Amino acid sequence: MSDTTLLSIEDLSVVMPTADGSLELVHDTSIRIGEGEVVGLAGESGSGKSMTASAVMGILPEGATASGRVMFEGRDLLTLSTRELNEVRGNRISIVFQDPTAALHPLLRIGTQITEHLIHHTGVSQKQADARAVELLDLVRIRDPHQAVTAYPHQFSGGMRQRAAIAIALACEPRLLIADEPTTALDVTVQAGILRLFDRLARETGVSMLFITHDLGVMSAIADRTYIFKDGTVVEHGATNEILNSPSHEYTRALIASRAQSLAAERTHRGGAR
Amino acid sequence: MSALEIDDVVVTHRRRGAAPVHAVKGVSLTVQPGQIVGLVGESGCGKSSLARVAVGIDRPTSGTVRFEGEPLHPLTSRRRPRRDRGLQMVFQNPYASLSPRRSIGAQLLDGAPDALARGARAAEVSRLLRLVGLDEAAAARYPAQFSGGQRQRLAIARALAAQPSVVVADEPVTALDAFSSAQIIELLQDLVRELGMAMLFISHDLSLVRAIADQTAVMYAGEIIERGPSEQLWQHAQHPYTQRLIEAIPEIGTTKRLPGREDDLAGTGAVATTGGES
Repeated sequence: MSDTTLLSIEDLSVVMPTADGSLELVHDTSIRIGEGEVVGLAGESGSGKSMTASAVMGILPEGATASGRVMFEGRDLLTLSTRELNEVRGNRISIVFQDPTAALHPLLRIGTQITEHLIHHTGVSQKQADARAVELLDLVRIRDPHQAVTAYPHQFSGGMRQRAAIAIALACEPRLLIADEPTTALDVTVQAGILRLFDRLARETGVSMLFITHDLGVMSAIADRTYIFKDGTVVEHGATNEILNSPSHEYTRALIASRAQSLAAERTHRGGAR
Repeated sequence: MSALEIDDVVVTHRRRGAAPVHAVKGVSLTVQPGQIVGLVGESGCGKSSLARVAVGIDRPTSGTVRFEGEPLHPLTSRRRPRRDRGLQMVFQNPYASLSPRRSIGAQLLDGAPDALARGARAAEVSRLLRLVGLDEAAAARYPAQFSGGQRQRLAIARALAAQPSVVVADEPVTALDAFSSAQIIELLQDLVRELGMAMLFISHDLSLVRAIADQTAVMYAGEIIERGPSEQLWQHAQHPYTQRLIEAIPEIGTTKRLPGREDDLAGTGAVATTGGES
């Protein structure tokens, strides 16, 4: 854990107007991410964890508005113009989503998708970008990166596509990587590989991460500190394994009890298995 | 007599100009009345091909499926024989299996075995909604007005309308968060017990299968490589692949500990040779 703050979300609220009045999706939430730190946001669907990440990236759904402050490198991201924000996102802060198939263009080679991004944000030459694309695929442990840059997304498995999406996100050496349920759609053995990759990247590149998941087992494996979300607000936060091993909030306990492992243990205890 | 009996089923997908895909290579599996059998395996192992054959959506290349002792009739465009309607399926995506344009009350009884009088229909809809833990007011609403977990309850209610003796559930909680998933697991267990059904529960997640199934079968590359009572299989897995599946499940630990093995860090080959699902 680091003492230097990279991103500081202060009293963030997100409001969405609806037919029955306005709906508060995030309420008065404050989150701090230190340099090189992996911070987790956990909670069930609709608890506000993804909405918080969307507010940081300036990609809130149509009509939703954010208040409070999102301080990053001395500026409040909520006050930036779209143009100023475009210099930050994809460059200083990038994001990896749950579904890599939707994140990748189906008709462009993997290499092209990386070099386009690099040339747009950094203005390097095509030749430099090509070399960097191979380096990046190597960084995310895709075997034979020279051949992989020429492949199309459909030639990759789900796990490989997510690795390619991570390579694009890391292209401009961001300070902060937001990962929104990045392993939820993957098989468990593939998930294990991607979690190992995130962990290694955090240590090798020093990138900070905001990791969003509803799986507390995943959280335990990856995050230094965790914030538990419920109904748009943080109910508990602290060092991940302190929270998960001795939760102080009733809701955190309920989340832990809803895990398959807890259900199976309870079932064995009851003698329900035949 | 077994509720569902899959005997030496082979599924081979033949494609023009390409090598045939041997999705299922001779699998036998039986589900007894009142029993939940779990089938676990990862993308591309053949479990969904097997599920489609088990409910008669697809015809096996060879082998047989018996439902309550009689051979199952593969689906055609005609209405399913009455007897076979006692075999129902619940899919991963409840939003795709419910019609967005019809109210819940209007579509819940699509699979009901007998045409019901108007008054009886409303009572039956209420009974089904209560069975899956929903308020009867849900009948007047449309699928878009429900959360993912509630929609899966509705899909289950619609399957129950046919008064099934066997339900095949293919990844029924994969699209749900941990909370909703736990609730659906408990609901399915209760329903099997209360209604005396049999269930084939298919998932990529061995920890879920352990939580719900009495017996577990592990599928890999089109074959069942290990099977046994769920808890025993979890505690004493024999096959290296089963052990690998268990190791890959992330656990809450006292310290930060990554699941899987060191060699999982690297991706598996530059270009996938088969078009496996993601």
